[in-house]
Amino acid sequence: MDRFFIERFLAEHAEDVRGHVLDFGDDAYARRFGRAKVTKVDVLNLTADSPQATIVANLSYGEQIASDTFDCILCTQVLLLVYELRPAIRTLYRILKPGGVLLLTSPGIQKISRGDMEVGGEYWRFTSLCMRRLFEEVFPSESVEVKASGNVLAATAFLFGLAVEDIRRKDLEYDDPDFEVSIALRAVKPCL
Amino acid sequence: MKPVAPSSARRWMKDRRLSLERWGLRLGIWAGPGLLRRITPINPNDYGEGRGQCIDRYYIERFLTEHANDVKGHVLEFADDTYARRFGGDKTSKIDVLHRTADNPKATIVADLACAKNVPSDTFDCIVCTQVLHCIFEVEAAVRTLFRALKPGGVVLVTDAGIQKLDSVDLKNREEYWRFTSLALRRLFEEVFPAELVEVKAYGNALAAVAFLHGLAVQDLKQEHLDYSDADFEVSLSLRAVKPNGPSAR
Repeated sequence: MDRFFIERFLAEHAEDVRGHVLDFGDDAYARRFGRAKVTKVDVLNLTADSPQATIVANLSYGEQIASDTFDCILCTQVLLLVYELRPAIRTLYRILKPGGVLLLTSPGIQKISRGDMEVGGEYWRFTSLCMRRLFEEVFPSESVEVKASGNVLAATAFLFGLAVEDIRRKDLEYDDPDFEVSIALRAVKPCL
Repeated sequence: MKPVAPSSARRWMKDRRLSLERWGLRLGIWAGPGLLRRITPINPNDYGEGRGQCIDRYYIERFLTEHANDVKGHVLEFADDTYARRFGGDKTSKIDVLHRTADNPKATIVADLACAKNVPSDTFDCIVCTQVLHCIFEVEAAVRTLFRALKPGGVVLVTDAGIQKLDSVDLKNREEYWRFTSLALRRLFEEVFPAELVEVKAYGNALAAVAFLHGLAVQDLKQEHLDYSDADFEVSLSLRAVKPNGPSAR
């Protein structure tokens, strides 16, 4: 269900997915939304157990990742798993090239994922306001765009574990500001 | 436009409608496919207080009932003193009410918990901190203030929202930041309080979560459905932490 919102957001910003791209877990979104615009994809994973991982690192202590490296970072459904948020956001900023774009999503209303909770832990559901403030501490505020999507139906369906196909598409497209099911953020590192 | 029906008749119709809705819910008429066609909440106006007791209040008050023995001596509460009076009763010797802005006549301390120089240290036997922390961006600093304000041996009783819609009023005032998981709440407090003195408990299940999102009330659900606990659906979180006696305090 959250994939509907995530993929809609990435499709809207597919132009940003180009050059040297960093994805998390696997490279599916980098390939799908970047296509021929992508010159190189790195995949970051917290542990070494992802076969596609080219970088094994904890985002909050990512000193081994070179600075000014990526034209685009696709950070979907990751930040909720990171306890030390501010160092992680500083790492995201540091490893972007000047002019590089961060595309990030995180859930607002979502049940606990048992798998994630038992591996590295699941910590946060952000409001769009929180997301904005967290990133404005590091990125220039005029380069940060935040959008929340969802409504009570999307939240309900998501909590009950239904699929996008169970819900009419136009019902998912209605946004109710009280129900932030999925939060999306785009931020740009300024050119020097 | 002037209402056609007299007020008594309107009240009767409203009560009637509410009770019909409740029977509909009990019988599962709405809980079935109907719920999956509504893109607006059954009750969009509030968290259920217009229909009965809010679902989160049910969990909050259950937690405070379990720990009513801790509410004693000099107690600090937020916004008003309702819970300190209700759960502390004769056990309280003094109650302070903290509010962020000076426009609350019940406030005896006006302070922002995150940069709270005017909150006294080592003062309170108990702090009742319900539904406060999710409105504080600098939540780590707020937790440090709670620790500092407690007397050695003092207890903080915290509750906060897990799965909950945003409050339109808070949204306009730009106040809501977080929905914590029980793990986040535990880690936030274990950074300041000794881990063995922090207890965290989550309440709720899928039905309670969805009913709460729709603005339904406790009276709309069966008690056994509210009391069933599913660890994947943290509707309401509670935490009890004790400031240690003596110099071991961090």
